Amino acid sequence: MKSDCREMRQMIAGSIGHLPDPVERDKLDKHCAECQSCREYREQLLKDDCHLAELISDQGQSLRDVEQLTLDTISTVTPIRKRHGRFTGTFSRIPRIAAVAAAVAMVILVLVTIDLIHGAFDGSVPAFAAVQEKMQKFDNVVRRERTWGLGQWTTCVHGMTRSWLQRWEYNDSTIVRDKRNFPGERVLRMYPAEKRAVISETTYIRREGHPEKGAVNERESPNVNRLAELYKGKDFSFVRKERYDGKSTAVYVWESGPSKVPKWTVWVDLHTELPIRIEVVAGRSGPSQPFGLRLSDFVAPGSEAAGWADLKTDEPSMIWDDFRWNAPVDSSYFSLVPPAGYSVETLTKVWDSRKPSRGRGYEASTSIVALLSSWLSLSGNVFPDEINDLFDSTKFKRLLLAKYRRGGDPVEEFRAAHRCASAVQEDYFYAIGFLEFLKKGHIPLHYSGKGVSFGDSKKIICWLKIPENVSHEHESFCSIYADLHIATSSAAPKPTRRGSHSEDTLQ
Amino acid sequence: MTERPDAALVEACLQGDRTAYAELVKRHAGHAYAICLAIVGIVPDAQDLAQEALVKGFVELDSLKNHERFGAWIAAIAGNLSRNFIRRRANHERLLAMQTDCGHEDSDRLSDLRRMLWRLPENYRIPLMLYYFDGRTTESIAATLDISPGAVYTRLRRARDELRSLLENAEARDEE
Repeated sequence: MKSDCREMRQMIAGSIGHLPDPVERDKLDKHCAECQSCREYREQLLKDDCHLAELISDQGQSLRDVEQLTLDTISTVTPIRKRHGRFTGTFSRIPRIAAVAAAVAMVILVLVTIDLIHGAFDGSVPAFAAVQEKMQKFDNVVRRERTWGLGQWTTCVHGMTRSWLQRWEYNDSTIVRDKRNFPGERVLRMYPAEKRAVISETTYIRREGHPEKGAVNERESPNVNRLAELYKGKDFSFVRKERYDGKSTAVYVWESGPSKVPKWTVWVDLHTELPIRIEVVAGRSGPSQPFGLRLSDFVAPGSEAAGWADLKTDEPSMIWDDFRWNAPVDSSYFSLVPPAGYSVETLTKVWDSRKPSRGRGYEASTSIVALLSSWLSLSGNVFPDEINDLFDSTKFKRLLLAKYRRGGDPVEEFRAAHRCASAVQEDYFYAIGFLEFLKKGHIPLHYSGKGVSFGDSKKIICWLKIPENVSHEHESFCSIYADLHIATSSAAPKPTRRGSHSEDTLQ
Repeated sequence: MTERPDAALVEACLQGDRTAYAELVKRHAGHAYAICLAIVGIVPDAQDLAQEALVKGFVELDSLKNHERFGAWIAAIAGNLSRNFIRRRANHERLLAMQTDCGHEDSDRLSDLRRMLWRLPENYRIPLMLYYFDGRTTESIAATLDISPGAVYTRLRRARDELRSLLENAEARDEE
């Protein structure tokens, strides 16, 4: 860059938002007419100026909130008044140490007085039921939600309306859920960094005259009410008054049983009589460990797990604060329309309850297929040797460790394994439920999957028969094939040829 | 109607007139918020800190010696609270990275600008943010930051220049 360009650029950067004097402007214009680089620099700075103004203009609502919250707060705060001159004179005549002691005593006195004044102006502490009743009158509430899990805090802004709309705003994604057609729902997931959106639509078709179980109760209990109802059945006790976040609050606590966990603490603003902070102490050091997975399974002995923060048992694992009741959000806040320019993937699912049930035997088979599918994804498409392996949590743990423990970052590997295990665990528990049903009905589950290649659509790996005294089904034999499709029949499948594969039975 | 000067509002407030402080809040909340946002970079935290600074100003108003300098005084409180907040928060950098990288549905251009803005040194970033918050008057920024208008002008000039070079470097990296 030439030396006069350097000088010109300083002049250009200084001219943004200012009117340079005519001589300077002429000099600038003349130089820019001749020098493309400086001309482009000037254009870019003018663009930056517009963008910065645009960026800051987004903050208007935040600023209005600051103003409003400050004004609300100062209406409840008493300023420390000016001390009179005669005290200064008195202090000046006594020894310095005594003056300091007197000043400290004075400050304490002032603080105590302020507290007493607050107490007097705060009025009585509302009954918790009155707080709940007040909460239920709002059309929406937006709050910050912080949840501890897997050694880290996750923060989101959660909004909910009376009309069954909810929004979770995370750092990397935003989810909006519409349950106005409960039990059907529509969920929009947005990933701004990728400009990608996924819409999941679930439609329920009800049988006439058979409302979905729970639908009526759910409908009568919109989200905002449900927030209030989280405390129903819990006997919250007022424990103290406290200054919190510059506000006078009443603190209510509910503890469960002799163990005193979980413990809920709610700070209610005495001015608005609405919660401003809620903490929940879960009472255990972390989330449940699916299949007994532990961080120590991934960390080599003697080494540290960097990036992992432990939570003490008496520390809250969930914190809700920054409550905004009837937040001034526009319709786009809860909109399920993806933003312009996003790629959109739509997933639809229809649950038709008019279709007759295919029976418990078929349902048991589908649950086994789901669990087998998880097993195969962990084992690299190798079927379990025995059917008992499928219901053995230690075998699942072994598969999870084999897949996820790769000698990389132990914390990240553990988190990935935990996420997978949590998803598999749902199928596992579901299948265990059916296993109990089979055991109670003395229904044998025949299995011959050992050594079978995944994908063979002709090979039966598992079958069961539902006796008529358990289920009055016409097609009482259910067979699962090696490509995981299920077929029903009225006759038993052909027995497995001895010598090629052994068959074991779970009874 | 003529605007009452800050000194008159402070006097009225010290006599017990809360509405006078409300007027001061309206006048200076933008500055306090801009400073907090410039330092902590996270909107909800900046809101809390600006509110805390303004409430602290109200509670401790009698310690303000020169009533005309209320704006600079509140700005100093907001700045100190924000810096203390950052010192206390060990994982601030991580949160800031998350905040600046995503969570905003603005264009790539604005997103880059937002990210680079937080790479500027604080003494450039604060005047720059105040400038846009304040309807682009250098005089009131000078009063708020207790520096000369000339110094504001220089910092704004350097901030723009620095910001541009950060953006150009980022663009060059993207193109590679």
